[in-house]
Amino acid sequence: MIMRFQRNVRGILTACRATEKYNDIDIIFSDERSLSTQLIGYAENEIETQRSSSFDTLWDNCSISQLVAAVFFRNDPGAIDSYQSPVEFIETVLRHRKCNPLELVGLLKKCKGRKEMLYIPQYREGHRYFRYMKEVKKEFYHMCMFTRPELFGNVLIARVSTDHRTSDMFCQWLARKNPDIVIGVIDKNISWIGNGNLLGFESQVCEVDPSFLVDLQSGDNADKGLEDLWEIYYDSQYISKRRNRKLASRMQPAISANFSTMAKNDRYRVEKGTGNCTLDEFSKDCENL
Amino acid sequence: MSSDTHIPDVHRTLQERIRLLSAGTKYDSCNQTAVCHAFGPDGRCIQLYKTLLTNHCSGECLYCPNRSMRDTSRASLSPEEIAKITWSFYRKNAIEGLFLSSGIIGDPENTAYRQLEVVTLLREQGFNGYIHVRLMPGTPKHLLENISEYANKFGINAETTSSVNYSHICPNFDYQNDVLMRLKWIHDMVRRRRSEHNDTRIIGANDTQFVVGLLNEPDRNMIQTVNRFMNRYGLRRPYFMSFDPVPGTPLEKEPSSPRWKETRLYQASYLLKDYGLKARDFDPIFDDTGNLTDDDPKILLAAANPDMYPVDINSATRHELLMVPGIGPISAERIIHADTISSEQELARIGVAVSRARPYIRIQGKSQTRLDRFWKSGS
Repeated sequence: MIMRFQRNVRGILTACRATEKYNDIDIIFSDERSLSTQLIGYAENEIETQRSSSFDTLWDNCSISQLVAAVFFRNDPGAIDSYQSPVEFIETVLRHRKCNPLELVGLLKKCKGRKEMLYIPQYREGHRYFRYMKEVKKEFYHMCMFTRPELFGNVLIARVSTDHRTSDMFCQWLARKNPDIVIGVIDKNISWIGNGNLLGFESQVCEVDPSFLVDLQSGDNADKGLEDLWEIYYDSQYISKRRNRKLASRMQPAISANFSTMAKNDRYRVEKGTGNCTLDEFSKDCENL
Repeated sequence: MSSDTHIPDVHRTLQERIRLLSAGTKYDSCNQTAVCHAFGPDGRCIQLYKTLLTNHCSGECLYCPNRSMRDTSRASLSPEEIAKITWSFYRKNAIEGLFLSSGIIGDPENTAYRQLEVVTLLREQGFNGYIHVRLMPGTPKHLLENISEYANKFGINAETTSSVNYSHICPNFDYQNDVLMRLKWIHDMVRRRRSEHNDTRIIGANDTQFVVGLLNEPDRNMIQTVNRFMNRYGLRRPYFMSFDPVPGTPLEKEPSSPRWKETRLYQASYLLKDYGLKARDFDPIFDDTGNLTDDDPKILLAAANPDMYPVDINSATRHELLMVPGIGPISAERIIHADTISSEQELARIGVAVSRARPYIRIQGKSQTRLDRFWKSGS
């Protein structure tokens, strides 16, 4: 039998349970479109979807925490508290462009009911998925650090370019930080609206047509002159005696320059240093010549 | 004397005042929030808009660039101006919030009133970001209470480790009364706010900053003071800033403190905070003058206690693992909860710095041969 699951936390956890219950099933995930289309043509009758099968009906009524408890049944009270959330782990790695849900199901089964094993990358396969989690989080943090959105009237618009599916996370983060204004995040062909409730949307963060954000950008850009003010502030924070190009380059990596012009300028000054030459000093130097 | 120093505030542009007043905070360390937004060429992160309310100051602290007797350019920003700049940088995602310090405007009470004005204004405007207020020694208790209503963090710099040193460098204030008593009040307020606060505002722990190398204070005193502050005032993270003499101050001819001292003190403070060490545990690694040397304190501690090693990685306790160079609190937890570890590769995947840990560990009965054992077996 072939069973089809959704590519999300519930789907992954249910697939784990299904493979435990039935030894002879093959599983596919619903956004593997080409594969599933082929399979539907090939053996339509044999495919059970997550929702329609009798065995799922029971599990569809389970909460995520009940599913987690079923898959991670060994409870170690001394386990690492802050690294205990399998839901967060699955949610994060599913965003990685190389994540294979089938492999992920295999990894969860190898944990043998111990959720902390997801965060202990002792073995090679576990290490790879742990790395995926870190790569996804790194991309998200880099966006939070270096993206500089622009304010148009009462709308804050950010342009990003992601390798993994993280732009909605960033939109959510920016919306939480600015709960009083509408947030727009444009990631190549995908656009997100944050604080959508301010515009009458039902959910806080939702995907919208890119043209919708273009219309919102029609107001005046309120950021004029701000970048100059930032440069003054940035330069004022630098202690010239403590210049440390190696550390600074590591902390503000070259990739930061791709996020915004402000971050690009900051990166440039990390490399070149910030001069403290004023017009007075320049005149003095000329007099000495 | 620069002709710039006597320009009245009203004749300075906003840009000039931002430059002057932000430069006045560049020695204050405050990286407490989760997201940094930029890094200066010195490698220090920028995550808050750091500014002084004013650099006019009635204090006479010997090391301070803003001391009243010093001939320097003076400027002020109004609460409205600070709020506006903070909002602009915040919307641009260039900062996470505001760090507000000040020169002393007449007396600490008046200064705290002005600081309160800024944070109240921002919160009333709906500002959701992080606010850290650096208070003046001697700030009255009722104003501390008021500021704690709005700020995420507020603290007073201790600067030094003893009353005698403090009264020498800050003649206007009393260490016991104006600093330590306030740190105690803040600790109590933070605990109370944390237990009773219902909204999402994060209340930070007490914090303070020390000037390293001022008056040749030994590192032993510094570590003891930090340990005491952690126990008494709930100090979570001390900040250290190497002393750099400022021209035009009474200490201008004093030598700068070496930069590595700051790093080693930070390392020692992490050992106190995250590794469960006590100040007395550092005794074997101080030199004759009570100072640290320019080496990683954890490696020096391991060298001073050779009988503790090698540690069997699969049976060691958490404390034993934490004492191994290259193993931190997170990797120690992982080792404890992992399956039996059989190779260095597994350790590396877990996050251990294997090259540093190798001389101090044993895996499945195998450990690195040490030169002293080699000689013993030879003889």
